Amino acid sequence: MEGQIEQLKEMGATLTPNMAYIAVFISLAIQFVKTILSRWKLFEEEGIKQTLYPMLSAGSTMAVYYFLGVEDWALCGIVMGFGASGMYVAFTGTAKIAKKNSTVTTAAALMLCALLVFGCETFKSDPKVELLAAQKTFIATVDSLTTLHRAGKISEEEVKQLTVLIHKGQDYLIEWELALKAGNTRPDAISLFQTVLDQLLEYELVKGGD
Amino acid sequence: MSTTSILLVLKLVSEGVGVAKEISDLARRVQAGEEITDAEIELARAQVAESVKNWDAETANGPEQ
Repeated sequence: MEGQIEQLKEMGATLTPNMAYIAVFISLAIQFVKTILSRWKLFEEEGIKQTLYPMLSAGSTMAVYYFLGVEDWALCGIVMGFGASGMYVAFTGTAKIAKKNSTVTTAAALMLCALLVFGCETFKSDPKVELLAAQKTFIATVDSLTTLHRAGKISEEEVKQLTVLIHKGQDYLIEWELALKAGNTRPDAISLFQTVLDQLLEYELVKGGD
Repeated sequence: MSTTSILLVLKLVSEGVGVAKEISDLARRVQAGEEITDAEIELARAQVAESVKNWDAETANGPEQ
């Protein structure tokens, strides 16, 4: 996605954080359309899949930007639409490598990963906002993993590993908060928390792909 | 796709959409120059503790089949 942002800068178009968030929602919507259309064999053909969904993604993004009154709607829509489509393909591919199988649930993990990336980039200037965004992302990740466990998608061995990671993540968040209140920065706690969150999201991506 | 799988997908997507909205609202507030209060961070800390507690309670009984 950073590549797309650079590309837009070179072309003289401005991309706002909200426009980037919309692209994430578009990729999710395309995944739903794909799930519905996959009931018909025609839409499962490789050639049609590779052409139709990126075009649909770019077209929908352009349309949404147009109706929202974005000045560079055509250019931003094309670049972000194809970017959202490529991002979805990349994450689905990761899930397939890990489990040789994937479904629509990958989209939820994709959304969380994208939010993590955008959250970190957008909020770095304000330490309090960065912490709050990290807390919110952590809550959603833990809740999603709890749902996956309830659905019987996580083994007992994985539960042990995840429990260690979840408790470590909570501890690093508390250290981060205490340091912030004391007026200090704790880059080690932030970096360790982000490593833990990456691992949890990776689990969710693989398990969500089942 | 079975009904259970569809419900699981919906639940996961609703988590994703929920946090997306919250973070999008945060971005909007930052852009408007609003400041985050200590109370909001403390509330989020309590919610983190609640989520971890739910995970511990859920996993203490083993996966449901």
